[in-house]
Amino acid sequence: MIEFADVGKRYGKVAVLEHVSLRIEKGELTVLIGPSGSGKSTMLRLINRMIEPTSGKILLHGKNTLELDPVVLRRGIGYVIQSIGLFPHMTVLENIAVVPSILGTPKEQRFERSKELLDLMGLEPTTYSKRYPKDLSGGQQQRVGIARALAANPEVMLMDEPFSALDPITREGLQDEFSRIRKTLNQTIVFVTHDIDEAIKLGDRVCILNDGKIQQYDVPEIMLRNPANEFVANFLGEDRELKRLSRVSVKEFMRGVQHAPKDARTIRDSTTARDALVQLLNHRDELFVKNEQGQIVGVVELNDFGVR
Amino acid sequence: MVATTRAFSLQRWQPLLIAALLWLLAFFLFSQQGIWATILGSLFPFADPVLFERASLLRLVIQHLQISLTSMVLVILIGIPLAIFCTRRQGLAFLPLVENIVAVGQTFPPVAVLFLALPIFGFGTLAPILALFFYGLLPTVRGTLLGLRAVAPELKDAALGSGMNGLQLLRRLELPLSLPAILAGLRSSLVLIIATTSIAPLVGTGGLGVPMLAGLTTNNTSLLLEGAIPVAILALLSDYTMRSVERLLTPWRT
Repeated sequence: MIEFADVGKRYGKVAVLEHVSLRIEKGELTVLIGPSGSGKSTMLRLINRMIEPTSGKILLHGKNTLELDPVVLRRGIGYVIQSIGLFPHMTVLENIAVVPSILGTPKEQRFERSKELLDLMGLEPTTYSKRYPKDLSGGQQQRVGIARALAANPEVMLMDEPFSALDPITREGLQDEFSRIRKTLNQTIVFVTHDIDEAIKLGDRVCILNDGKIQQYDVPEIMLRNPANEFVANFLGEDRELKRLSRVSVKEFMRGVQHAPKDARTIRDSTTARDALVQLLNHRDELFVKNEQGQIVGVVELNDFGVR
Repeated sequence: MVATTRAFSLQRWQPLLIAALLWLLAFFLFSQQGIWATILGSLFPFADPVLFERASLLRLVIQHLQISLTSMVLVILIGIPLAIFCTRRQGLAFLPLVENIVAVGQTFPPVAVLFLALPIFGFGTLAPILALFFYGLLPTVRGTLLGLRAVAPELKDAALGSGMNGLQLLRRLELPLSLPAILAGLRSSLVLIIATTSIAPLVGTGGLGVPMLAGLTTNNTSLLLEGAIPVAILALLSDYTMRSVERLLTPWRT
């Protein structure tokens, strides 16, 4: 889908990226993460040629992006940035319809699509269509920013720290909503962040960068379990085992039983192992797990977490 | 669809409608030679003549506006494209040069510019129009440059990242966002030109400067005011009109 083939980028003598090779799979959300100056944003901007590589090449659908017209390339790639970048002189609807508009989609059609997206992003079209960006909160603005990136239905979306400028509560809400929406779409998403919790929460795969080099590229569960080196281990934090529990279901830890006592505490089998553990620590007893139909399928105690 | 997103709003059009009414009122006033004769005559009973005799006030006003507006059209046609060119990649090298030339144009006293243009273009309308154009260029060029350079880099990043080409970036983002600064520049240029057109008769054209010069040379305050008051009215009205246009064209600001 997207492939970095031995890509290097330097500004004068300073190397920002060195020998980066990476394959991003179709339909996956890949998170690029690392400390400031690690080269994560540079990698993202290389994909839509906002920056051009000094060496190596980037392939999109097997085609070298350097051989494509950058303007045409960018029209097929959704782009969401941290500063949101809504155009202040355009209404919300006009902002979302920008890419279809430069592609020449008829007005009726592109505004219809924009209203659908506004609805998808949880903003009531009749209320928000004609407002100007300055009349929206930060969270609402970034919803519009994401809708704008989706407007031309691109196969690839690039998101450069889209939620970092928001307050923690808005950020978490938007993360949840974004993971929900993403399941209904089939975009390949490259997502840059410096927030490890966000990376673990959203990423199908995570790529940790430092000093312009890839440190580890893996699914979060494996990375949390087997950090490739000390940098990755430190970056993931001492609580990486806890973080891993937030990625897996309580089902991984329960022992199968069919019956529970009458007044037993129960949780759904979709609960994360981390949340189950928190409940056990709070109440110090056993938790019975039930499935969607309400049948008891298992039980967990603190000990069950210990043996793994 | 456009009608719903850019709904007609009386509130936004109101200042412009008021401006139109004020212009009508002003022209009515300029056409009433008798009123001016009565008022100026009672203020300066010894003035002789009270009003300029070889042309009616209305005619002088129209001449004045013809000269001013022709210069203004030149300012718009040359000043704005010049500023745009200087902010493009190809024109960036010319930016300091243009800024300096334009600034020099305004530091020169307009009378001097006028007389410098004289040997080249001779007596007539061409010399004052070009001198006024040169003199009024600065605010427009500076306003346009200011506006274009104030467009936030992250907005350009978002626009380019969305796949706009250079022309689309200019037309859809940079110009609309610079519009307030451009219009403010045009407003200053217009007021400056209307006021300075008063010295155009020095090289042999008409306008409201004619009675003013006649009044100055014959020590006739009545004639001086016959020219000066309408110039002030024209300048004030132009200023107000341009402000109304600014509000109308940039609804996203308020």
